[in-house]
Amino acid sequence: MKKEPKISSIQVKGLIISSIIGVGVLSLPNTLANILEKDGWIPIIITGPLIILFLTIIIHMFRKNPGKDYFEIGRENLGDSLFTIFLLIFFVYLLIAAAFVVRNLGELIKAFLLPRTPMEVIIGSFILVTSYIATYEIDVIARTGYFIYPITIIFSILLILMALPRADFGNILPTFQADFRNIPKGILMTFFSYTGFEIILFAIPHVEDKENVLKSSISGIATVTIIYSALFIMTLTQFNIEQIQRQTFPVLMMAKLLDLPGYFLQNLDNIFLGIWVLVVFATLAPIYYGAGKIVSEIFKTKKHKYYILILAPIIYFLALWPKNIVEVYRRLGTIFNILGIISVLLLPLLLCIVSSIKGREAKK
Amino acid sequence: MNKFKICFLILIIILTILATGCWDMVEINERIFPYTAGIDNNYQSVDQKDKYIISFSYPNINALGNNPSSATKVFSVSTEASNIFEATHNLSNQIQEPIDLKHLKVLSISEDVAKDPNSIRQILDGINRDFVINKMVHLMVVKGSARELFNVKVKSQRQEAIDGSIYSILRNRQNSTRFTPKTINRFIRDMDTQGASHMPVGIAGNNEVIVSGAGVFKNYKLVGYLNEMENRDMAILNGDLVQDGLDTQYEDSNLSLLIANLKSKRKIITVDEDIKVIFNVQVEGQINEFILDDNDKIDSDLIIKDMEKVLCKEMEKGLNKTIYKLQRELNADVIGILEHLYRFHPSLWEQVKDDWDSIFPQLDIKVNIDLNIRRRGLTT
Repeated sequence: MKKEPKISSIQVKGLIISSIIGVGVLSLPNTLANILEKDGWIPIIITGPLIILFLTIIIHMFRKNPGKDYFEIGRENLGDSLFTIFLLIFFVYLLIAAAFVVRNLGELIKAFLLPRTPMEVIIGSFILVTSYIATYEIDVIARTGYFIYPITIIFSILLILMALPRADFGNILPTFQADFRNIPKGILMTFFSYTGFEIILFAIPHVEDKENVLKSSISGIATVTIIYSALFIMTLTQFNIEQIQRQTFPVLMMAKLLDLPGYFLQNLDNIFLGIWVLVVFATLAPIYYGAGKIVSEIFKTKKHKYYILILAPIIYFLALWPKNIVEVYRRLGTIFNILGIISVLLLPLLLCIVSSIKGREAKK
Repeated sequence: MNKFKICFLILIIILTILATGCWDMVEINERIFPYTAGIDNNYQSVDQKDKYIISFSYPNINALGNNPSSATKVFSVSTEASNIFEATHNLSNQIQEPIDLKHLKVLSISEDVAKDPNSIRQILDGINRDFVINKMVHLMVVKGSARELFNVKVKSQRQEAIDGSIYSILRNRQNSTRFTPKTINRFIRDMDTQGASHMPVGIAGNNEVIVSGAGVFKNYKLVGYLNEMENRDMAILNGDLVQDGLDTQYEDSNLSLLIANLKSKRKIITVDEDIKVIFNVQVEGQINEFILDDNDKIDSDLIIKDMEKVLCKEMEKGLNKTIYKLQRELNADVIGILEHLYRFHPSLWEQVKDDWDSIFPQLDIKVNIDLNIRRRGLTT
């Protein structure tokens, strides 16, 4: 007999944190510093509440349609064919997201840890390892996230604490000098660092205690917001703004700069990156799982297990498609951004609106 | 189902073979970790090719430990190359093991190289860009040749083998103000914020390495030197001074004060378009040495006040001289005025940042010293 997968609301919090924080945070200060200079923390603290608002709407939608999962709600409200088109876009987005994450991680590992290992091997093995977890149901994914999120948080806090002795808080000044017309762009870029929370679309129908799910997802997003803004401000205290704009991975550079008295700790970037592989693993697993789940939904099969293995080579080739790191951001990044807005923001919003209209009509 | 189990087993076996990272396995004793790199101009170079002579000094691992099998503690090698990375490859024909720059501590640049801003920009960019090199590398400019500096046999060999003698000095455990250590990260930061920075100067003496004073850089070009006293004044203005002595003549005897606590605050006053900078320096100290004479006791408030006045005057004289030199001779803002403007007066900074080169020498800079003698030692 098949058991229905169940997850608890605390696991949802872990899942959200571990699936949002990934490779994006390592370069986030750089992106924001290029747009808003020293005021890059403003978009972070604006985007956090926006995401919370958005999640509230989604959770409300699931409450209105008890017992149904995301796909059922979609088909009911948008019709089979239209929803399938949206699902296809969502699917491509997840694939690109997976490729983007894997490629970024591959570049980092190759640069910092394994300079002579071929990129193909790094990427291939990472995809294969993740495919193992992605073949399981959402409860396993949620438990993985729940196990890994303390690691994410502890190491972020450790990094911040160890950078404190060298921090020069005068460097944060002057504030509010940037061009505020760039804030929307900043919010948009920050939004992509928050992507990953879409796993909640698959997770919520399986949550046992549905009353607490909103609370735990809010605390999840809040944690991410705090970590993001703390890391941004810490990079500001370590470097001047021009250096942050120059460096691709300011957070990693910060780990490199750590120099506790004596030889106690130095060159922490390798250790930090080694642990970050685990964190990225928890980011990739939900994305990969989601992609498999969507294919299985499109072909109307019950299990998504076998599609995962079919997807592995697709992600592999997508990840190896850009020739260099600049192309990674230009090609994968642009597609990722456009599809991300459609499938993560617009589709759920559309569903919410349609379902609420339909609900009202049904009442009449 | 059985088929899948077999498939899975094969998958796992392939993974364990392919994903163990054997490509990069290098035993740590099969690597050479230089702690000092030196860059000299190569005057024999043709068409900009191999334009530097790059030297590394690294510890001889066999000479460390309880029963050393070799006597030379430090090796130094050098080669012609156009950058530090090419040098590590070029050296493969001289040394047995690959060079790993991960633990590079000091980069010493010879005076001639430092006078060419393009060279400095390229060298620093290479180090700033590299994945492996730590960004806390200490910079040093060398009067004469950097290679010779490495070959100096140092008398005090205590830390030499593990740390490298130059690095041991540069780490500045003695809180010296004879020089101010500068890491590459700080150097680039200074350049970005105020277009000028400084790094300690190394001189190869007879049987010793001397680090003294500062080489002042303006837009990545070496423009001049500060001697030890001027370097101390600069440290006072920047508030970097931790502990130092201050000597002066007081009633025909030498009065020596130990500065134990120092704070320096910059203040900007604008009087219609004119920017006036005031350095408020707060000094606390104790008397180190005066004179053993019953007539000259330090036992009244008046005497202490008077001494403070004399010391103040002495200090102010030095500071003003150094400021004059920085403004008029070097035109290098290494005392953080532009950065202060940027942080606390952003609108003013916006107006002056482009013409700072012409504004800085004309700036009205004043020093206010508030010197307090807190302790007089055990005797009166």
